[in-house]
Amino acid sequence: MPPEPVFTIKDVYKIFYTPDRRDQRSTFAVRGVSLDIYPGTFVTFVGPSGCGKSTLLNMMSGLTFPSDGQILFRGQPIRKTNYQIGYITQHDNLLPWRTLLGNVQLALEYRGVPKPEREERARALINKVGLSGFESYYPRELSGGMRQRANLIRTLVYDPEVILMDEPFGALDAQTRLVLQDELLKLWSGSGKTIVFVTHDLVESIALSDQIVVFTQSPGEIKAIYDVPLKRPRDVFHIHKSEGFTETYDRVWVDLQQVLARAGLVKTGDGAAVQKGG
Amino acid sequence: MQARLAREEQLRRMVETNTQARHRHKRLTFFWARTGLLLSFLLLWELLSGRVIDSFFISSPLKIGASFEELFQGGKVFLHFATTLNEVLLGFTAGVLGALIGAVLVIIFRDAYDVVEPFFIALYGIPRIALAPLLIMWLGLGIKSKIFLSGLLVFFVVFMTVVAGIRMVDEGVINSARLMGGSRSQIIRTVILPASYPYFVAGLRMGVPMAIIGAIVGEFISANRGIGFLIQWASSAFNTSLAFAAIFLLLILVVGLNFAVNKADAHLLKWRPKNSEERITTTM
Ligand SMILES: Nc1ncnc2c1ncn2[C@@H]1O[C@H](COP(=O)(O)OP(=O)(O)O)[C@@H](O)[C@H]1O
Ligand SMILES: [Mg+2]
Repeated sequence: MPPEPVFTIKDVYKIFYTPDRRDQRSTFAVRGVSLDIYPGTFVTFVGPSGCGKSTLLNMMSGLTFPSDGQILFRGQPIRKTNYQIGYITQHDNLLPWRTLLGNVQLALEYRGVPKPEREERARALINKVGLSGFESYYPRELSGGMRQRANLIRTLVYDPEVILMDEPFGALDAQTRLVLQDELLKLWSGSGKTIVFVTHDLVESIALSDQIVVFTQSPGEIKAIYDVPLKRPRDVFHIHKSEGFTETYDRVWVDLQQVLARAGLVKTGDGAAVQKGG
Repeated sequence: MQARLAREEQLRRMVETNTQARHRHKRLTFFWARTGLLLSFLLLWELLSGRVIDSFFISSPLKIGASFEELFQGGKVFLHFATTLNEVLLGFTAGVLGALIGAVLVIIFRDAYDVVEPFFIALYGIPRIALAPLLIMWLGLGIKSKIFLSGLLVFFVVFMTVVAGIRMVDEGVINSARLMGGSRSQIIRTVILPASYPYFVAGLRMGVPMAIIGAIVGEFISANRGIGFLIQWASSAFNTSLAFAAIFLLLILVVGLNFAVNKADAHLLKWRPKNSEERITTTM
């Protein structure tokens, strides 16, 4: 018998309607999405921008709610903000008036963890991602990569079992991104955590995940779901040489190419170069 | 290797001393420019007075100095100064506290505030100075009515500014704090209020002149002590020099209060880049 899913998404729709914009009709951001996400798996969502990935994560975190359909978290419908998960948004949301150490401790402060313990836990993670020495720096004094590391560990510090990540490495240069992918996999492996990770980079999604969910350009449906057969632990720096990489890439690419073509982002038949670059 | 380290150390020293020198240079230049400007103004005043413009109307720096001395000799100046200072400080504090309490209420009862906001804006639109005679009728001739008027003026400007700041707080940051398990009061304390600090400080800056206007106008209308009373009395006795000397006393008050606000600003906004310094360092 399979384990109970962490998330059960059942035929979910989300419609946005902004009455103030007179010329604008309501839009379907998510349309008829059904998906089960099982404990301990690393799932990636891939699809062109505007296809409803962030909206889906917002609903999974209880920041907004479906217009129709249901999302269950451990069997229970989500009715309010889902405090049992960590949500790492695309924008880092660090508090500019707090130092790195202060930012990483924030969630523990909210939980009433005593000061010595929360400092110790924050420092341990800061060391782990190579930020020691920068504890008293303010976010504006950190580089993009450092901020993204800080963003990652300020969620990891309270040890949520489920983490949603929305294009966390999207704005980083290629090298930093690889390093952070590697760090993320190391932090995740053996932790038993469930991760849902949004990306627009097919290579990244293969390198990281057990399962790839491909979304279509609006109206925000799931196009296909793929298992990633690559062995773990994975070497993200040489992922393209891993056994099974090329096959997986080609298989997913067929679908993604169609989606991108329909979105007008790539011409059918010669898109591989475009996707690999972006 | 040794040589390279030494060279880098030397380079670092050079950049540091150069930057410090630039800071010093800039500070000094500004200081002298300001002093020069002030002295030229006083000199021009002194020269024009009695030669071009009748000194009955504009007095002159030297005469004002003499009046100032006179003012101090009687010792009465301390009573006037203390009265106004008292009104201004109490009014300012009350206004700022009221604005902060109001701001927290706005955060908590957002919808209720949206309902009453148009009325608030309308109130904000009428010159609150117009209330002064009524306030004196209600609260008497003593300092209570002046404190209230001063506090009212400060309250409105600080409150409006802070509320504008609260409206600007990034929804994403609040949501992320909520997801990290922050309770409402924790989020107000750790996110919303700090995010509105710059607006709060801007409100404080605008509040300083407001506090003084409130106290002085109150004293104009009816009082038997205070700097406003002094100005009023001197003018009605056609003693221009004394009136200017009293205005100079006000200037001291303004400078003192602004200094205090700047201190608060520097303390609250440690995390913010100090514009001029950063500009200098980054051009190195
Ligand atoms: N708060 C909102 N109000 C109105 N429309 C929205 C809102 N959030 C998202 N949308 C719309 O929903 C669609 C999906 O957006 P989003 O979920 O952000 O896509 P993705 O994350 O895949 O790029 C887009 O067309 C977007 O304009
Ligand atoms: Mg998005």
